[in-house]
Amino acid sequence: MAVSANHDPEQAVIEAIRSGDRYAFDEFVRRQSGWVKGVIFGVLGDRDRVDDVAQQVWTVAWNRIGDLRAVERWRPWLYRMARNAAIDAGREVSRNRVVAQSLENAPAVKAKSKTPADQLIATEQHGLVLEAIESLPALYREPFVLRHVEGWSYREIGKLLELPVDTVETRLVRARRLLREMLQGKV
Amino acid sequence: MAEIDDNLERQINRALDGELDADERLALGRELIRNPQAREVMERSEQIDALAGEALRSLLSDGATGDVCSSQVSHVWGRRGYHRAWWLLPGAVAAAILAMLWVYTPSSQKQLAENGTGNTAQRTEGLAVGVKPAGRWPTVRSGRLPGGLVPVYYRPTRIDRAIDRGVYGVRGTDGNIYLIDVRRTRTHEQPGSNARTWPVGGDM
Repeated sequence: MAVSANHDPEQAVIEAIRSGDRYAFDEFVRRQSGWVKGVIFGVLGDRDRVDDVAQQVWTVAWNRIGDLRAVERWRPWLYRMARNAAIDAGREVSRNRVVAQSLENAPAVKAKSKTPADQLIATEQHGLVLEAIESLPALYREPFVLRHVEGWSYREIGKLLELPVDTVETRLVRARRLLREMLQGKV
Repeated sequence: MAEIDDNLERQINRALDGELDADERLALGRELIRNPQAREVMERSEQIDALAGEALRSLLSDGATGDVCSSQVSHVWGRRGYHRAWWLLPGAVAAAILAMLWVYTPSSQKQLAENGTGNTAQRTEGLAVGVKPAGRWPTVRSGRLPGGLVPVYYRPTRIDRAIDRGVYGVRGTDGNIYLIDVRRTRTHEQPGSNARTWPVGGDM
């Protein structure tokens, strides 16, 4: 889905949502869910929490969409919401981790649960690649995920993240370089 | 792992992301032919990109965020939807009024509703006769409203048919007088309408 377009069909949907149309909101969620989750995953780097945080984002979006002044700026508005929710969720994980360490004097608790299913997936290539992506610095992970989830161009990613195109390109180059190194001999 | 020039690595990345123009793609293609290390980086990056794309799309489209969202929103619906509920009370009142209007129709209509079946026109000399379209007449229960108004839920399509008849005498060539019966039928159809009231005695 292209970020920039002269005529943005989503604006009509936003207007419908603002007037209280729940079905328009459902449709909006379906259409925008991919990149919103991409942003959350890009910032948080924890695949197990993406759905929960996305859920919070959509609930907040529903409650606050009336506050959106400029309808044409809905994407940056939603992006900031997703990003802030992911940052908050990351802080929460860090706090919980510190509490767990201090109370139990245990080694660092890993954020994601390792169920048998997870272990099985981790043996597969997708699992390995996802783990490698999660290990990327958020700085590089975010544009990399947006690029691969939505297929956005550098310009589109830059517009959303409010970064120059060259910066987006540099971060993608470094993300790929790190992934090549991390996955060397694994996939 | 193959090490290549930064600029060449950038070009490879731009190629993978579809950001190269035709000339740049051609130049990169030539470089890849003569540089096996660059070729290795390109192939490796393509492989990781393909896997990452599949894995990410699978991860981020899995789960039922949309559905869960609907159910989540449904319980915050009240909070956001409070301003939408303004029409519920007047809507209920309007529905009650319409239900009342539905049962109030004039006795003349009641008569027609009970007697009329199908498009039956009674022939009257020079007089328009109301015709009831089959199955479109509201149920008639009782009386009228104050103020001389007759409430009905809707007015069905009305067909007025006027039949003029004349008998003319014509003398034939054989000397006899022949009577010619001439009938002329005029039909006027008035489309139906939604709920309204109109005065008693109006031509319904």
